[in-house]
Amino acid sequence: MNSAKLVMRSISKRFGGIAALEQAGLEVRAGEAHALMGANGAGKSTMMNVLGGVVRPDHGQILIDGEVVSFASPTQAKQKGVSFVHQELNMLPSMTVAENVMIDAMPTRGGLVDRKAMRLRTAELLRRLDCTFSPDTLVETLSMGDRQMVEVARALVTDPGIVIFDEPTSSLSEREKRRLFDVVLGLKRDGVAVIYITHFLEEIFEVCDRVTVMRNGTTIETRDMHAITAGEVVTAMLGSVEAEERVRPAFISIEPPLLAASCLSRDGAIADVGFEVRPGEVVGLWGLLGSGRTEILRAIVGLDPLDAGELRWRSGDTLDIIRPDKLHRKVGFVTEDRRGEGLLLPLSVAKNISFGNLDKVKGAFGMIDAAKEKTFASGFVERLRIKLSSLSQPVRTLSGGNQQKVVFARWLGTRPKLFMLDEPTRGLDVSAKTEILRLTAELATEGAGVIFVSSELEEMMRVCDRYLVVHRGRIVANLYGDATKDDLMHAVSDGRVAA
Amino acid sequence: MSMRKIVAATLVVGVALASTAVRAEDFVVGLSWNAMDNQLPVKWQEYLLSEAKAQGEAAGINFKWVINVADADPARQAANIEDLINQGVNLIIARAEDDAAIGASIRAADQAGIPFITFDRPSSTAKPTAHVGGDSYDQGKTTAEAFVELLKANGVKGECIELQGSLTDVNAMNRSKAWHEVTDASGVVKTLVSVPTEWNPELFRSGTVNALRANPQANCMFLGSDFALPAVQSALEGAGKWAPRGEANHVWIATQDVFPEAVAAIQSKYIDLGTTYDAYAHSKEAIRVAIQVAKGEGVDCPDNICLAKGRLATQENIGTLENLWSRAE
Amino acid sequence: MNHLKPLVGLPLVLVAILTFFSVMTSHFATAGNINAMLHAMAPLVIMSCGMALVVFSGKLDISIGSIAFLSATLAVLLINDHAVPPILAFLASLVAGIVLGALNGFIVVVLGVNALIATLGTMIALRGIALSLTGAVLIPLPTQVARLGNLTIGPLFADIVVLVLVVIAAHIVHRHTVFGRRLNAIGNGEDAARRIGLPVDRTVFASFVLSGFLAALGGIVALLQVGAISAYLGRGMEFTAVAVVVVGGISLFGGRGAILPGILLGAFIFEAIANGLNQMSANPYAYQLITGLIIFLAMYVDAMQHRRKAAVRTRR
Repeated sequence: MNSAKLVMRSISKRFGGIAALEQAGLEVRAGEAHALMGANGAGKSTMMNVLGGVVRPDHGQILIDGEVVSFASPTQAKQKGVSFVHQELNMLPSMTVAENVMIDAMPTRGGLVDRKAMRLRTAELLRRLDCTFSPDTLVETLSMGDRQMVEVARALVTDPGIVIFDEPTSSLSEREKRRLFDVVLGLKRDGVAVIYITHFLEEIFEVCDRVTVMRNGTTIETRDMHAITAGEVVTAMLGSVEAEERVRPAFISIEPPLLAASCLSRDGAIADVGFEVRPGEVVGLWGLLGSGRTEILRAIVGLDPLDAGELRWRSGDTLDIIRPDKLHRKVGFVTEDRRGEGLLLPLSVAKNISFGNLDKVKGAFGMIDAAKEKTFASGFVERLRIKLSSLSQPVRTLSGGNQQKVVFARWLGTRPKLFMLDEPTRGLDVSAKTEILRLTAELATEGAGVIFVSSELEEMMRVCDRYLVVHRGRIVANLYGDATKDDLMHAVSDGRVAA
Repeated sequence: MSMRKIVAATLVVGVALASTAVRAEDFVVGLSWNAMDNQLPVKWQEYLLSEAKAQGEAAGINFKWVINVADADPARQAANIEDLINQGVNLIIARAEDDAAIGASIRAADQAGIPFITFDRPSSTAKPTAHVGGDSYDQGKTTAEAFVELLKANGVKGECIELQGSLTDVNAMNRSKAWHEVTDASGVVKTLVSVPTEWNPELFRSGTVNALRANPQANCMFLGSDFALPAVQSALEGAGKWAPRGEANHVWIATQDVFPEAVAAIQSKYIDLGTTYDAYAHSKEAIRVAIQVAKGEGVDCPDNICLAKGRLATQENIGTLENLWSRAE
Repeated sequence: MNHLKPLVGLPLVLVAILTFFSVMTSHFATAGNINAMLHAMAPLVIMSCGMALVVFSGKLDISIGSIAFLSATLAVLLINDHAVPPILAFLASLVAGIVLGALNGFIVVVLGVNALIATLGTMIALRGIALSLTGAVLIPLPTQVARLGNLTIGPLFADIVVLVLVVIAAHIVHRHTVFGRRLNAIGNGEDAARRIGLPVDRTVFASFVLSGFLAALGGIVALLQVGAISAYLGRGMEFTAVAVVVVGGISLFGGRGAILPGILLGAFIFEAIANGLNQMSANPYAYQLITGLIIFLAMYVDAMQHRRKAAVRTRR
């Protein structure tokens, strides 16, 4: 039984009024790979930022090798042997591997860089990681997997006692993943304490010895990998889902479908996806992060290329084949990225609402009639209950929820037949969330079809009439609106996972 | 009562008479320089102001000045002159950066009813109320003729490098034209190459260096102006050709303007001769013409062009030429 | 020697230019003329080295012409008006260059102003200050001092030796010191460099100080060559330096290229064209047209290469 290399005890941190961490704890032994799991916003990043010296905790203690430590800066954390391999690689593409690895710790001789020593040390690290490329290779010629190895090598330069891997496999091929797992095993053998953060459940069962699950800023539980199932991990991550009131009763649409997708595939992302959307219903794409649900949405509207499959769109009595980029023009989009969808932040509310509906506010000679614009916009403001002081107020001064409503308002003007909502309530407070969900239901009631994507199961259960459960790029189940939370959790963690 | 009326009337008449007799008219002149890039504009301005005081007092005119300087940029100068027009000055005197571009300003002033005197550099595209300047053609001609005589007397066949001034400067072009008209037909002096310098001292230097390299047999030079003499000296020294008359590697040099450095060079016999650009005479003439304009009299020069000729400065007379602005007294 | 790859075309262009002018004029390819060309391009090369150091970090310093002008003006005024010995006056110039470089560094690093905008501001302001100090008049140096401009060491002009020393030093600093490697890293990606933990602010600040110092040094060399201070000193030099840097294979996006041999080749190309056209007595505007074309081509190639490299697709 190894003694603990790292102990984080009762860590609390508030940002403004919001508690990011509340009495969280973590204990990692030397030579162990310890998984850290949690949904978005659970507190994993803040916890790691505390460990990495980026933020200082309000309360709590950190002990390394039994000794209390306190980090005022990332440099101090590094000095105590804490090393990160970040999800977003910090590569210097035009420079060599050796330079990338040792840029922060360059050996010098007589004031000049000692390239020989640099090369030797890098070669040593590359050997340890089982990499075959030379230290003089330019990083920009390396694959993502090899670049990640360079990032790992950089993390190992200081011979750290604790190495944290943050979502390391998101961009790797199968072979590169295997190599990464071997690296982790190698580190374990060398007595390093490894913290492994990922949202791919199967991986932790392969590589890790124990798992700690976080939720809402606290640690829920810590268990040995053999003593827990995937389903239990998911439950711990998502917590008990309160069956909150639906914003409208589950609706079954009997009208002919608006949109039919079949055999959609894209190499490495989605496989054999097929579904239908009918007018008047809200269809939810449900799956864990990384399941491929966003990829499905993007593929349908041509943001990513499709390798195979077809889309059909209703026109009159028939379903005609439609190209994704053409479908894009018929669909109303609301995503979490309000600026990205074309909200013109410095412009007024009125202008933003009329932006997609310029025909309706045209005056003489094709110039925009300001009075018409105001009337048009105020209609929506009333209907959607957008809170503002004046129509000419710049949109960026509105709260997130009201900004989102402006986006809706713009779409309502053009009355598309199909809406795609991707995390539309992200970042909004509780009452704003409810209003957006109500709006969504309203869209469906008025006859549009809605595809709804969210990582919050409670939210989906309040508004969806059907669920398409996505796992590893495939649709594995089609459940109706009366499905229970257990049904849904089961569906999402089932299949590939060794229980 | 009638006594008071008589006293009041006398007072009123007396004051009226006194004011017309004592008060000199204010005459505002807008002065637009293209640039203050050598001592000439500095000296011109000095003499303009001092002559304005002296001649103005005698003529009963109180000269006031509004002065601006463009950064050798024709567009900037046009904007500056527009400012003067908007301020409603009584007369504009301008030294043009670009002889063609200045025409627009002349026309604009004409439309506003403001008389316009081009100073030193004439306009090639519009006719101003008057032009006052040096006779640059005569300047080039007198130097060229004297130079031909000098070389003939010394039995030298001259093969010259000419350093030309800015192509938009009418004076530079006049001097070059006069030089060529005299020397090309002289049979004594030949011009091997004409180097454009844009009045940029670095080009004076590199132009000389490169011309000497391409024409190693060159034994004389004609400088469109000697304000950048140090640059030319640097080039000649580098080639081992900066020597006074009498030594074997002396390069015969004819120059224009006779700036202070050139005065010293003539005195120490490095430069052979040149025709002065008489800053004092120009300014004096400009004020004389300005007063004629102020009084509403016509300008009395032929074709409204008033030119002052320069004087030939040689190694013999350099110490004794009168009123030479560039020689330290 | 990976930094040599983008320069493949450069020696060819140079050879083409040299051949052309050797044919068209009789005295182009002589030792004396090459000496003269290296002499004339010395200020440009020195200042381009400073510019290059800043460009490696992905930033620009377009105030170098004005720093050169103001520092040189200072030297002339000290020598002429205050009878300061020339050596001390030139030392004061160099110190002025360091201080002005630090001013740029302060505005960019501490105040957070974009480098192009910051140095555009100092470019205009410093030139204005220098012009007001001299009244924009041409002021000659005393003859003995002006003579230093033609100083030779053996057959070479002294400033060629200075040129060589500066270029070698700059190259070594860039490729073989930690400071130089950090500059390159910042040019590769300032955010990545910060996250790695490099002292980005300090490094960028130092690069502007060096640029100011080299600009002052270039100004002194230019001053001595002409033998006088005129409003033309350094004017437009910043843009020629950028052209030399880009033609020399250093990317304006930062992180790529090296001082040797790029800067020497680039400066030599521009100087050879000016020199050759001069000897051919060609139309002076031809020079501007040709150099403009070369600059355009060099920047186009730079942009193309950058786009190719940035388009590395990630595998998901």
